[in-house]
Amino acid sequence: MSMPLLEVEDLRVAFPGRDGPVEVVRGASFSLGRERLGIVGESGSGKSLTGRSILRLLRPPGKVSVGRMQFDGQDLTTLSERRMRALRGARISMVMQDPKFSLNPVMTVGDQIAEALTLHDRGSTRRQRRQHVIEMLDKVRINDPDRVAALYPHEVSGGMGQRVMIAMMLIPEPDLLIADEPTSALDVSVQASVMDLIDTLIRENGMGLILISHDLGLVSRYCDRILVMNAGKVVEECAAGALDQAVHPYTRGLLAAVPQMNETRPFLPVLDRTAWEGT
Amino acid sequence: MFSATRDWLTDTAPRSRAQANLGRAYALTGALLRNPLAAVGLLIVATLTLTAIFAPLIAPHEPNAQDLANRLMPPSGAHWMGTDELGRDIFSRVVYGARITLMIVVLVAVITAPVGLIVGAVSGYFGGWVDKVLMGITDVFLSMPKLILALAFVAAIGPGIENAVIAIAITAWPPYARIARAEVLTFRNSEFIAAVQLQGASAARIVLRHVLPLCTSSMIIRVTLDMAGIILIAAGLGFLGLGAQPPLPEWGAMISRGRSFILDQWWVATMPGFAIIIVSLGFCFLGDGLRDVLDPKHEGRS
Amino acid sequence: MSSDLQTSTRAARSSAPALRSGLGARLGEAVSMGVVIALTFLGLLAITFFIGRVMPIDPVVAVVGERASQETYDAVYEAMGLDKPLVVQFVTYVGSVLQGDLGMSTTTGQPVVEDLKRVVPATFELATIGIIIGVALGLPMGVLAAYTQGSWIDQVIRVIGLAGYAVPAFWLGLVGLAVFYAGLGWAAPPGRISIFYEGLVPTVTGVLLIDASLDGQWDVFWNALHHMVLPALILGFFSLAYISRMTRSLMLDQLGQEYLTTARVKGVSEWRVVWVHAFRPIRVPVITVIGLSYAGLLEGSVLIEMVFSWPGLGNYLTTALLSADMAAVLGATLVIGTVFIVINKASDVLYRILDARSR
Repeated sequence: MSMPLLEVEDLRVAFPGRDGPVEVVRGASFSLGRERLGIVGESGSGKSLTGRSILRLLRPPGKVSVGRMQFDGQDLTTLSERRMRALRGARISMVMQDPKFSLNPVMTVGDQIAEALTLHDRGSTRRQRRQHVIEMLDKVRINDPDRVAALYPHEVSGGMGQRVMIAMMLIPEPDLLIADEPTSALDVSVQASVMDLIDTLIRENGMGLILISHDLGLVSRYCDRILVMNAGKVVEECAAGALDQAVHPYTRGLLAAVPQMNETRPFLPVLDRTAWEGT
Repeated sequence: MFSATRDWLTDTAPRSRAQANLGRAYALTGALLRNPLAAVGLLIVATLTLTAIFAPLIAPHEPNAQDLANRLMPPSGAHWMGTDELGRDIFSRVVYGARITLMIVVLVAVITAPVGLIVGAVSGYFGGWVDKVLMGITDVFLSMPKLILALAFVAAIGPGIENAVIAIAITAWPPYARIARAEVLTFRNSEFIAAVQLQGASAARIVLRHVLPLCTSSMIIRVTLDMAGIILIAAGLGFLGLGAQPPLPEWGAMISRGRSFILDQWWVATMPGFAIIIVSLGFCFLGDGLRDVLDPKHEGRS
Repeated sequence: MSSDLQTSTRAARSSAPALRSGLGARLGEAVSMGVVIALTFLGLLAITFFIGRVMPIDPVVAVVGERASQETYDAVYEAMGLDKPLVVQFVTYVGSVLQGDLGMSTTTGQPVVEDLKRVVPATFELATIGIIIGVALGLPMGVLAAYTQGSWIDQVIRVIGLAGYAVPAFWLGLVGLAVFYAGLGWAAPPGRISIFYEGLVPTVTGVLLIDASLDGQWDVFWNALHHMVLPALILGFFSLAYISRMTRSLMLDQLGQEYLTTARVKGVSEWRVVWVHAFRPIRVPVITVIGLSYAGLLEGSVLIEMVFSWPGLGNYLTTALLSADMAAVLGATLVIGTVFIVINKASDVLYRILDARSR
């Protein structure tokens, strides 16, 4: 592997609890090139916090401490807030779970996409930006982009909203996209098309992707490499194709709980946490 | 022995209804006291109540005893808040004034809360034209200036403390009707009301026994928060000479009398004002705290 | 070809009723709003009418005097329509109010309407300066408090906000006079203008600051402004308290929203996140809050004007109250009540028009 795009070492996130701080991410380390990395784990495993910590977007009272966090040769831990802002959106961006909540309800879809462009490309004229927004909406396969650009978020469907979100995040052509459960709030019928869209655009632009999901199947289908997180720790790291050879009992438990085609098991097994608790 | 009582109060499986209620009261009081502003509010309201009850024991002088030789004396060891233009001890008058303030506040609450509750509950429970008419009237009162309306009423029925209470009550009930109606609407169609209806309970019984008790916590919060406003309106009426009449030591009226001396003998008008501010703040703090404790939906909001 | 034409006309035809129903709905809404306002105003009139009836002062005696003969008394009693049923009297009352007849003031000896025309601009001037202060300070304070929720800044702003609910306006006015006029000599004495400048500028709008600048009399302007600063600041304080408290609460709802994270991910600056992304959704409720605060200032001016001898609506009302001049009391009540209703209902309308989400 050439020089990695992102390196994270010993990431810890803590929140204050009644009896002192509670660590939610407990020393996660990984690195990533221009490839597709999946992070899987159940809710509360710290996978979403990991995504947000990379962008330094964790709001107080959450506390992040990290041994090393480098993006494309830059040390993210020491970057000024101003430099960090220049990096957000332009070089690293993030698609979030539910467009119902992640789009501003009182700004038109077009304005929200254009804002991402204005911030990082000050040279262009308003006309050029508008043209660019329409092209981008077209690229995320929205019909009639002229009309859609003038709509408010509550006027578009969930799947369309997520396409808008993707357009907004990819329009400044970043190098790394973090997709945090990008399809879990969507109708099953549009999940695949949204994932396919992300996949195509990532490949076209030669970007890195971190796909955060609780869905093992989804992650193994769309990623090259997989990290399995449990209780704030990375417990397993393997190539997507080699998932069936995973060794950690947690991963094995998760795999066993996935229903198979043509199977005869009367019950799906439940995770037996005693096998690794306390590790 | 204390720990036994505590265990009994915090028992998660109470054996009697009394134990459950006391346990809940204990938990609420504890939560209230952990919130610093609410604790201060509770302390202030408790102090107001005790001062009103034990006024004769606390006040060093008769509130209406004149001493013309010692008129307009600045605050000193003998007169903590100074004396007024008739040589009366301001501190003693402020202490006795607590009785008037507490009386006004309690009377207004006792009149308005039930009226608002009943109007709102009837409106919400029956719906239809009853709701339209009652809420129409409520809205008319709601969209009017409270102080001005109270002033106009007192002007018509004549000054005096009873009339002031009536005038304030007339202007203060509509928000309670709105709250009660909103609460009733949320449970009107719930299963347990349907169950009571199936048992053949009358509408009056359902409203009184099953619907109203559910509104109490939001009503208590709102009434407590409104106390500050009621105190200010009562003081305003007193200031204009339309509330309590002399020689009653009502705080607003005392400020009004001190107005003539404000430039030289500042304490005459200022001291009763501090009493008003502290008591009003006390009710505000307590109301805010009660809301945090009783209504977790609003947690952290003001 | 012909079928294409058919479908397009069909489309046009089917979209026409849709358009009309949209417009119709708007119109219906406007009509029902008008009805609500009219009914509320009627309610206000019913209340003032009722107050006018319950007063213990005999309105006939107020006109004819104590020593009038029984014949004169009866004649006036009939002339005033007091022998008619209450409903008829009420209709007559509504009619005369709508024609701008509010009766005669017994203290000034003039029609109440004329008196009101004279005093309303003074109150309008004071309340407007007050609301400008309240918005300019209260809005940023509320946003700042929400943004720093739980910090000492938040606590200080919260206590200031609560103080607005706990401090009597008239008391603060008196203390302000004692400190800034008597003590420090910074503020002007009570009154709207120094006696030396009185009557120097012709009354055009009744708003002294505007009239003085129209006339180019800048020393009058400064003198008027000097008199206005303290009462306006005190009114502004109450407006600031209310506005900051409400803004804080509205803003807190926004600051946890996911779309702010989206904005931050895009690289938007914190300033823009707060003032554009978080503030824009609460613009409409904030405007409503400002409107209600303005209405509250009119009410607060009643007591403040008395303390500062400000010749406005509030002073007129309190003077009338103390001399049992009911026509004047009810006239002033009617004006303040009408402004209240209009602001209340206008904010409802604004909500529906401006809020993109409710459409």
